[in-house]
Amino acid sequence: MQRQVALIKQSLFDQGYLDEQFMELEELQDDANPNFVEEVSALYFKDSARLINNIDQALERGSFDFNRLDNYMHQFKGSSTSIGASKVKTECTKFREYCRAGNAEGCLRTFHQLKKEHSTLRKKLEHYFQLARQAGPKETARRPK
Amino acid sequence: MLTTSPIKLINGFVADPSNNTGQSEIVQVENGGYVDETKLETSSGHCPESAHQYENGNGRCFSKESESCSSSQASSEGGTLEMESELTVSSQREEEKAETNLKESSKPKILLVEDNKINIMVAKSMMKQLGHTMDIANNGVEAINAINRSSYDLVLMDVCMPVLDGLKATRLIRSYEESGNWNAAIEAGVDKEILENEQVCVRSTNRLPIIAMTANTLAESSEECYANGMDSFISKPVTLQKLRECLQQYLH
Repeated sequence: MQRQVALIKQSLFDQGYLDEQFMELEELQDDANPNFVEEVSALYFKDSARLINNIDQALERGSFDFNRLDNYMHQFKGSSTSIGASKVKTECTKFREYCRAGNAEGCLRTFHQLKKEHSTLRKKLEHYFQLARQAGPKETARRPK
Repeated sequence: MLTTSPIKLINGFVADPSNNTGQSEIVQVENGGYVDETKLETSSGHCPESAHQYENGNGRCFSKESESCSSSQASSEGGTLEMESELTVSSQREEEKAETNLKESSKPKILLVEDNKINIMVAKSMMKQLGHTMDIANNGVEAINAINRSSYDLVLMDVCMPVLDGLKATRLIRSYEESGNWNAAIEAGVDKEILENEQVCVRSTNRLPIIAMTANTLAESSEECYANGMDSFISKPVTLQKLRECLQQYLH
């Protein structure tokens, strides 16, 4: 089971969903904080859901306040960078470039892609954490106390 | 009327710990509040959470003197009798208290100025790994209020924040260091009353190390950071190694 967990994690890295920052977070897990990565991940998805909602609403209104959109995306990119959500981060960067270029069409397209990546990552991580918990603490807790 | 000699807190260090007069040591802070040292020991030893959150710049500070201050100020009118009963403390207990106070005082005070919740969670956890706790401010105004209230040894300053960004906040802090007053901050819109009512006892003469946490874009370039008075920068994402090196360089 633990091997399965390890393989899933490896594939997330290989396929570019996660980058080395995710490993930084894993380093912070220990017996005192055995679920740290899952907790950060949960906070990230909660917070980013809020941002997605804000951006959705702003785009629906039809008025492209690029400044405001860029601010939202700055937050989104920041969080995504902090947890190592690589593909999401890439879409955030693209979106911001379109904002700066004042390209509404580009923003919409990119945002659609971003939501896809975000949703995919969420599902994959949920699956990963679920398996990791089932496999037992050995896989997730890296540091003996 | 109390006959104890007050001990002034300078930069968070007890100036004269060896007050073995058999009397309870009272710590005086400039705003006139008296703090019973037994309260100090309790509050600093029992702080469960590593940091106190500032909300709207009016949050409670993780500084032991101000925390105890606010509670003792409330009871100071009727508290005289209570304090007098502490006057017969043995000298050994005082030494222990002084030692605890020094130990707590020698722990570096670090302020993290950051608005992103995920970044805060990650940074706090990394700092904990490195053996440190941090106070949190969510924007430049809260940072200024925190610095006004307490002596910090290190500030980690996010550059992009609402209300007042890290570059501006740093400029205002440096102005305060140079001039000894917060006029520039007040001009910039920081609440005058808060600044004037909650000033730290004695301002440190040492330059406060302020480290930028930057996304390394054009607006947040290292040049911008230095130009605004930052001492160094950490480029995001923040990692354990980057923090470790920062602490090694700026905390002594």
